[in-house]
Amino acid sequence: MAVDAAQLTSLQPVPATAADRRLPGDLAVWVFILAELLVFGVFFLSYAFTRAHHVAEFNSEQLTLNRAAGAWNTVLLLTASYCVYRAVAAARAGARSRIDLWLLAALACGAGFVVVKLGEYAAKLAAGISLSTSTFYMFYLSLTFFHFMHVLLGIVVLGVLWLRARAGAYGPANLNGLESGASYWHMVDLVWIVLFPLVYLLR
Amino acid sequence: MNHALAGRRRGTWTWLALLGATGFAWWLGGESVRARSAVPLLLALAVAKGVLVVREFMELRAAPARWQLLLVGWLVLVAALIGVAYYSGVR
Amino acid sequence: MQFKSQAAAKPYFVAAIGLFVGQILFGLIMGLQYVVGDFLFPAIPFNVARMVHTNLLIVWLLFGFMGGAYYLVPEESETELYSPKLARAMFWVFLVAGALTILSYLAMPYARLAELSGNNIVQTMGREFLEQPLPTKAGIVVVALAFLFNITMTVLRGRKTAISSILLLGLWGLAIFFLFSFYNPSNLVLDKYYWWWVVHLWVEGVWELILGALLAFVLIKVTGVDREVIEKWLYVIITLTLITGIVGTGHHYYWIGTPEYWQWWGSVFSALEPIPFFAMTVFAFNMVNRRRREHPNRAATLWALGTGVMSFLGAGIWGFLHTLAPVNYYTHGTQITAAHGHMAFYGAYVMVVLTIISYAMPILRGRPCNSPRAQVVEMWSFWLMTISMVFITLFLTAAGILQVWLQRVSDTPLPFMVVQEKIGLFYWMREWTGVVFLVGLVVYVASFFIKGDERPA
Ligand code: HEM
Ligand code: HEM
Ligand SMILES: [Fe+2]
Repeated sequence: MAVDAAQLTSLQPVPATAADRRLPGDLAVWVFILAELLVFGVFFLSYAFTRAHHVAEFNSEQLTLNRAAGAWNTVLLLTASYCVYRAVAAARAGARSRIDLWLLAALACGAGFVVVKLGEYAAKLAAGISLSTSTFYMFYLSLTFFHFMHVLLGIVVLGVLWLRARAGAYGPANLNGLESGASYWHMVDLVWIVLFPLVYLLR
Repeated sequence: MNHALAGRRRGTWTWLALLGATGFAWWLGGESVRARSAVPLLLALAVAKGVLVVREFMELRAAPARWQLLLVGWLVLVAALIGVAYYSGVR
Repeated sequence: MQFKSQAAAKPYFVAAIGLFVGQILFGLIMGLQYVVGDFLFPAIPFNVARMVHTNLLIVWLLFGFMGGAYYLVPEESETELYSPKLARAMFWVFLVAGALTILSYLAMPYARLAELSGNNIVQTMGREFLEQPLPTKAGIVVVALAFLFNITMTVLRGRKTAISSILLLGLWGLAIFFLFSFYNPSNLVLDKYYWWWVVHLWVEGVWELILGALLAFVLIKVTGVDREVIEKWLYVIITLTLITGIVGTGHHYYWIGTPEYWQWWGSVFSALEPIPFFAMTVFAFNMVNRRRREHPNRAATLWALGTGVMSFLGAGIWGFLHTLAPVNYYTHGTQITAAHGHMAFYGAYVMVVLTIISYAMPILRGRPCNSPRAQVVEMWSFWLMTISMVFITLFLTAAGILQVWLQRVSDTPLPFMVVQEKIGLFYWMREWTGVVFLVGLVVYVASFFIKGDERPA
């Protein structure tokens, strides 16, 4: 019975009453997500307001970035998020066999992001660019690298979810771990959605 | 199973919309477009994409309202302040 | 007491309190020297008093941490300590080495001690907090290794809990980062660079793990709240601590000759360091509000809550005050720093050690808690010490603001010593408040000697 009830509520796209509303995953993870958003927010605004004092320098150096690589990375992260979303949906619907496939797809997209990003870094490194080159490059490297570390952590999280999903850990009655990890990954995606236009596009 | 199916469709449309918005933003950020006029549009696109991720992928539309408020609030606040910073840099 | 070997903690606690008294006496001597320059000169010069004050602080906190670990780990692991004998032996080694060190500082000129202790072979002296002569440093490493061995073996042998793992991580980190005190490059930039790896990564990194573990342990005991709940929050707090604290080291790299990007990295990450401290406060109050039992040791609960509040004030608020590079540009090395150093050390580490002592000591002395009368006296000492520390901090902050203003911001900046003269009033107020602190400490010690009906009222 308990399982059935859980299944029923989880299949509701929008809960009928306020009492049915629930946060996906563990509260602790959400507290962590809020802290992360705060860090990134502070970093983004530091960038924006520092730029206001060095508009010409930022504008010209920004044009040296590889916008296409940034756009492809956006596509990869969004797609990974979509796959994670589908994995959670599969778990909720009790389609156990599809959970780990969707997670694997998400992992592949995450790995793609890493490859593209490393290529970008290699090109900049070869051009002799470092944290001390200029204020713009300091921000470009700091912001993207800090985010890059989050992608790596996100991949580790997805990897653990994938292993546990293969062991049959998730189903309609057991979603907490999967939803928590999924929420973290979406946060990594969300942050990039602001970071990409800010650092690569806005002039 | 109908709800589940509807949910999956929603997710897929969300994903496609996000990809479209990304392509548009990429074009806007290119060198052919006059950069300054693109700023508000790019920020609005980022907020819109963020809201989609927050509401659909993170499924906060089905969570207690304050959570959606917190995350969307973060997005709007950050984007607005970035806009202020860009405007203050113009003059 | 659930396990006989927990008794190993007792001498550590007693020594900690004894050295605490010594630390405060030297604080008062120095506080007086601030306003009466030649007080006790040449018997105890300011620089020696300062070093004794800060080194005693570190050493007694280490005694407290070790005692806390010897008490906590057997109970968490549900097994006797691996070797109570080793714990006792190391206690004496540490105490004798510490006493000898202090005595030799007071008995002979600094240069002579440096020469005698082999500082010309491996140069490690002359740096605040890491001042110890070479043999003492080596002794600390031996004691720390024996201690870690003992504790780790106990944990491995018994039940593994989140609290004991986090405590262990913190203690290992403490020992590993101390190794950088042996590395003293002659390049001043590098010297400072690595010095902070000990000092900052201690108090804003691994010590916070120890703090979290000790606090969580006492909270579980006095509130009876589910272990799972407490452990989950502990993990979040610890993760936030490590992320913000490690990169936050950058807030000491602004002006020592390191690349400019540290001003950004240091500012952004250290600005977020208050978050885990805040979480710890919320955590402590939350647990006490959800308590499932009324523990008779009310004094211990008070210390635990006090730790939550005062660590947030001292480290979180007073740390944030001067952590952003543009602010620190003006406040670096002023009395603002001293104000923050005092309240942060007191609020976080002094108070957490007093918390675990308050909880464990009655049990070590064979009763669940002290008599209500003794507890009332202990709570008086809590308020006396805590309130006087708040005022010491406020006076130093006022002195610091004036100092920054007159000496650094003003269009006609005054020389350092002229400014010191002008803010002398605040130093007097600090000194008198320090006397109140000492009174509080005496009351605290007295509370151990108060008998009375041991059952709670
Ligand atoms: C319990 C934790 C903490 C303790 C025990 C502590 C203690 C200290 C001490 C003793 C100093 C002086 C070091 C010296 O001799 O130069 C210091 C400096 C400093 N602390 Fe903390 N601190 C703690 C947490 C924090 C936090 C969380 C922040 C930031 C939010 C912070 C920001 C700073 C800064 C910026 C300085 C350098 C001041 C200067 O430039 O003179 N501290 N801290
Ligand atoms: C538990 C209580 C105390 C703690 C944790 C403590 C801690 C410290 C620390 C960490 C420092 C080094 C500060 C820095 O590097 O900026 C210090 C220095 C000092 N402390 Fe304390 N202290 C305590 C009590 C006192 C008291 C009661 C007094 C005197 C009224 C005092 C007077 C001083 C003085 C004069 C210095 C030297 C400041 C300087 O070099 O300018 N302390 N103390
Ligand atoms: Fe620090």
